Amino acid sequence: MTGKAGPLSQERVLIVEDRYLLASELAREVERLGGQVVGPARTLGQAAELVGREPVQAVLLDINLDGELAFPLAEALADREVPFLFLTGYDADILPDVWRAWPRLAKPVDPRQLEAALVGLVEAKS
Amino acid sequence: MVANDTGQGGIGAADGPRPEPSPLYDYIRNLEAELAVARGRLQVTIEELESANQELKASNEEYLLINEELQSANGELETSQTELRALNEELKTVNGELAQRIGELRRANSDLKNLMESTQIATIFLDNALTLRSFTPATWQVFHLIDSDIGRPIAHFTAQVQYPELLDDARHVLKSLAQVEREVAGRQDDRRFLVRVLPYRSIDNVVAGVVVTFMDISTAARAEAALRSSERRLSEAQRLAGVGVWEWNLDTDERWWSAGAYQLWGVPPSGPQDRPLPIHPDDGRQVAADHERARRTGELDHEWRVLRPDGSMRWLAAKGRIESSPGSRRMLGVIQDITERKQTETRLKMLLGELQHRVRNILSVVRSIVDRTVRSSSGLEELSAHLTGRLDALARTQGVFARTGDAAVELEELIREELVAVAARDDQMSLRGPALRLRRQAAETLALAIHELCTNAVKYGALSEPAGRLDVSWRVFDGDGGRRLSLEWCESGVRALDVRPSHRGFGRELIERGLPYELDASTTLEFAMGGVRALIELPLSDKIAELGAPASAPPESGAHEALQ
Repeated sequence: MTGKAGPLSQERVLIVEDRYLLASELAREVERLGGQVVGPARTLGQAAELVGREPVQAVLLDINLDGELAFPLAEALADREVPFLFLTGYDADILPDVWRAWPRLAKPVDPRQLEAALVGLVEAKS
Repeated sequence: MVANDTGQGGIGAADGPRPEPSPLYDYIRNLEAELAVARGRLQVTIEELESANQELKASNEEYLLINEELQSANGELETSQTELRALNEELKTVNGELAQRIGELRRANSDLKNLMESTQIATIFLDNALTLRSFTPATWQVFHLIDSDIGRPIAHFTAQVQYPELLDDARHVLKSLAQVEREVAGRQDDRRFLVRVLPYRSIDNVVAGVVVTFMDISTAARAEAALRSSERRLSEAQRLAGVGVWEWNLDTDERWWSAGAYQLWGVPPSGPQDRPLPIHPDDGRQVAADHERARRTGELDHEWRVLRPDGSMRWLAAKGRIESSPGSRRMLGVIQDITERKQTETRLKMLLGELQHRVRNILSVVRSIVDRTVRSSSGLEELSAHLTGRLDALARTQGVFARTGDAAVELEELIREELVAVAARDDQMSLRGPALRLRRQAAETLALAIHELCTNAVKYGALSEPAGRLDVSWRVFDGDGGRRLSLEWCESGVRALDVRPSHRGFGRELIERGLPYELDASTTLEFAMGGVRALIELPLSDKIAELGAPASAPPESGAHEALQ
């Protein structure tokens, strides 16, 4: 997946999402914005492996991966200072306290919001 | 006499007898004779006088004697008189006392009469023969007696209470001198009387009959019965509701708990001051703060956890309000086990989370399907047909799960639903395979893929012409790393399969990329002679299918509990 020119300018974005249709849709969006897609990963294991193997500038992280919660990976990413944002159907009040204020996009994801959030994520990093 | 004596002596002594007779002499002789006579007489008289004198003397002495006796008698009389006077005094005193006693007695009698007339207690006095001696006006409620009935046997009267044992009781009391007490009911109403039969003792402690009192305790009995049933209802309600009652004296800090409250605490009933209540260590400070606030505001409403001695953890809630009475400030309230409510709240929150997740995920999928269908359709008609079919397929799977409420769905049911939706005829198809229950996400994805195969078959393949035939078969087998599902979609009898999709359509992408991504499946899709042949093979992990015990919990719920 080769990125084109765009606001993400070749930044590598890892997508962690268990539904194929949603993952491919996100990938399309990232590529449209000029980023390079890493993954997508369906499980925490796959995602952790990718993060360990390849440089990643940003992560889009679905919280519920077919019943598996993504918070352990979120902690690892935060520790390694990899910028990420949650994509989820959950409301804030049901999330654990520590993640309640973390950047989050509600599903279904609005492409414009996704763009703004991704750009913000990459800019904050640099 | 003295004069006589002197005259006589003078003449006799001075003159003797004289010799010359003369007249004078004669005269003198006469005189002398007369004198002698007179003297004799005088002598007699003197003698008589002397004797009289003597007698007088004796008399006088007697008089003296009598006088003395009289004097002595007089003295005695005086003494008697004094005694009589004293006696009289005493009698006066006694009389006064008697009058006082009589006055007291009259008062006492009057008091007694007033008491008898004013008392609401029906009382009858019977003598030893059980005839009526007296009764109080209040007796009217029990016996209809009038004053003229006094003296008649009590057995002649009918009581207004159900008390046939009256005569037996009275006789028994007369014999044993012990009192009898019993409760009797009214004859025609629901009044109740407390009857006491006592021996009648006179002042000198002689038993002279019996006293029977009838005390109307209807009000008290009714109140007591009402109180009893109210208390029973209250305690039953407390028991059923799992509610305990408590009281807290804010001045002395003393606390009282009902038996039910102790049960909620999980400790045996005893003075709660004696032992600390098993408040969860994490909640101790909050509870103390709540109590402090309750002291200020006069109202308590809080929830906390207890760690019961048996190791179980329960949620309790207490509500209370201050009750100020002069001299003491007390808070009265209830305590309740709200563990189930808390668990339900947690579960509801969990289910709400699950619902949010599913709804938004499925909306995301819908949106993605719409986008893709729009991108791949050449016209509105095609767009509409494809979109409707796909959304319907999605809806059907949702419907199956919603209808059964199960966490899994039979593979055969899932395939059949899709075939029914495209109106495939039973005589041109067969479904063969073992029972297999697929979990929600796998079922959703697989159903979408089957739907694409169905619509393709209806449009171009086996279901598009009468001679076409569709055989769907699947099997479960043990492969590397566990059990696997192999599903074959085999169309035959299609005369000309001239429409080979040149671009990667939605269905093809789903089968060739979506299934491998989501289910780790390996898939082949062939447009061979005679029809389409698709082969889908995937590992039956716990997340994909319900293996073994069908009652195992769906993985989602595990995840959501972790979310809490």
